[in-house]
Amino acid sequence: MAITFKNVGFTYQAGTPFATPALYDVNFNIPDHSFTAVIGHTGSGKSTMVQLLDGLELPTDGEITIGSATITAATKRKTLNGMRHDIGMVFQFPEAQLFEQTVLADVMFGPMNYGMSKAEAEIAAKAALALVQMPESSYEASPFDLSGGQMRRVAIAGVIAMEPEILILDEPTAGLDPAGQADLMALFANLQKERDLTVILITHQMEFVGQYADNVLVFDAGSVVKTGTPAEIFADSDWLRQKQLDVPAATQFSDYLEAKGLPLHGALDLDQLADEIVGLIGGPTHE
Amino acid sequence: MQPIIEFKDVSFSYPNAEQPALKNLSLQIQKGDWVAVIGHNGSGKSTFAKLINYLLIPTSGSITVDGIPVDQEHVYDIRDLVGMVFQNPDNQFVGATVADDVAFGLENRQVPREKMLEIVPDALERVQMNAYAAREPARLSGGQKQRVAIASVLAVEPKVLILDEATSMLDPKGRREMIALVHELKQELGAELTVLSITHDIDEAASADEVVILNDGELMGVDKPEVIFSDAERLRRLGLAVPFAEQLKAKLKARGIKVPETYQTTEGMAEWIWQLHSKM
Repeated sequence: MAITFKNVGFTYQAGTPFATPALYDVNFNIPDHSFTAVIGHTGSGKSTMVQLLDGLELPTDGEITIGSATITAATKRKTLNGMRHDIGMVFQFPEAQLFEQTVLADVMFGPMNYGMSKAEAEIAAKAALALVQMPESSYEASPFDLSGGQMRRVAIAGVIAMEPEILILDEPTAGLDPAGQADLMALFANLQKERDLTVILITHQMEFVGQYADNVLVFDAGSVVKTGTPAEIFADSDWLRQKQLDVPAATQFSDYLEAKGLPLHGALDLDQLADEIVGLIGGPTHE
Repeated sequence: MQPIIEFKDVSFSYPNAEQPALKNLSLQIQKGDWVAVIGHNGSGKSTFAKLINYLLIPTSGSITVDGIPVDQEHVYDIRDLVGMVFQNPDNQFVGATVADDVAFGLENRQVPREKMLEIVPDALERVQMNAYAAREPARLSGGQKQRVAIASVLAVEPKVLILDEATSMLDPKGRREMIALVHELKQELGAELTVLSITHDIDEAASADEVVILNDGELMGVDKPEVIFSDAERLRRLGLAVPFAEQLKAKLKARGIKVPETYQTTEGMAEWIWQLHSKM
């Protein structure tokens, strides 16, 4: 499902003395089945954009298209409920939303809420739990007896079980250890392929942007200031630093060597960087 | 010298848990050190921190802080000595304004109002948040909230500051600012403040004086950061972050390149590549 924002603006509590503008003239296009990363420092408007996308708020100006549906300031809130079905939202620290007695019941809650029968929901829940690699032996356990990383997987399964076409991930790896973070990101990449999803990842971790995204939106001061592939975005590290953003460590390293006069070309991850360096120093050296 | 924190053969199990969260941990932390504690999720890091100020009670073994036993009798003395800042900046506010929040700990200790009027601005000054004294905590950024949380702890003048993954919910800028702040505090207070930071952030751990590794409730090593981070093999085995230069070395090695065997900083690695290239 493709997403388009056209001249979108949003003001919190519009028309009251507390009106706070949060988004101005936002324009972007997220292609169907893409893996899009959204970057920008805290307060740049990323989360507000996601709230509009998930139909939690209506735009004050402009037009949002999601698949064949259009949202404007005049859209009825009731219509939004139907659209929300297509969008799976994984909030920050999603394990805080677990509440059921067993893992399976927790994952079944969402699909049943959207009208699946109990039998259908159970099939969807089991498929989702398998995708996030939760062992069958955990299905009848209380979600609160699991480790933090497992709780997060169960919460994510709860979103996947609703069979969304668009998956929005807000800092999904925050608070996990490095191995847990890498596992979870690999899982999302796999999920996107298996279910042919459109994935939107909001993150501060540029390594993951370089590694997984095929499309990047940069937010600053309530608007999208740049869009492109990770290679295009990370090509100008000075500009990113001005926006209080980092570049991946591999790109930083590559830029540093380039400044010293080595012919490198801004690698986006370690494998690319290592390949370029091997090319530079003339292949395997055996002494 | 008497260690500021001493664990003697401490074990701890959560109710109904199959495995103890900490197993026979013995460890000394010296006064004035900045110690980073690393370990994967579930390694016992947070349990370790919570035992220090009696939020959890050891199943066996004993703990002392500044020579005082950590037990029911001394719990309030201990909590004056040990201040803690947690992961989620939204979970630790009680006051309606930033200044009220910093005053809360003082009110609990029945500090007279006149004293509070001196202490609160001082503490906020230290974390560069005095301009925000009258603001609502909810309206601050994550990094600002954590700085206020540190001010609240400093107001009580603890000898130990524990940061329990206090930077993990911040953006990169907030994280860097917080590490810089701890640096400044350490410079200003010297041996009067011992910092214990529980973290996954490799930059934060690398700035510490000592690094402690916990794995499945057991102590795996205590050493200087440059020693701990040079053993990339062990870090990988324990599911921990490996410094960038070591990651690059591993990738080059896998491609058949003969790489330096000693520990390399990022700059050192760049220098090495540059030299190889210039020799060609």
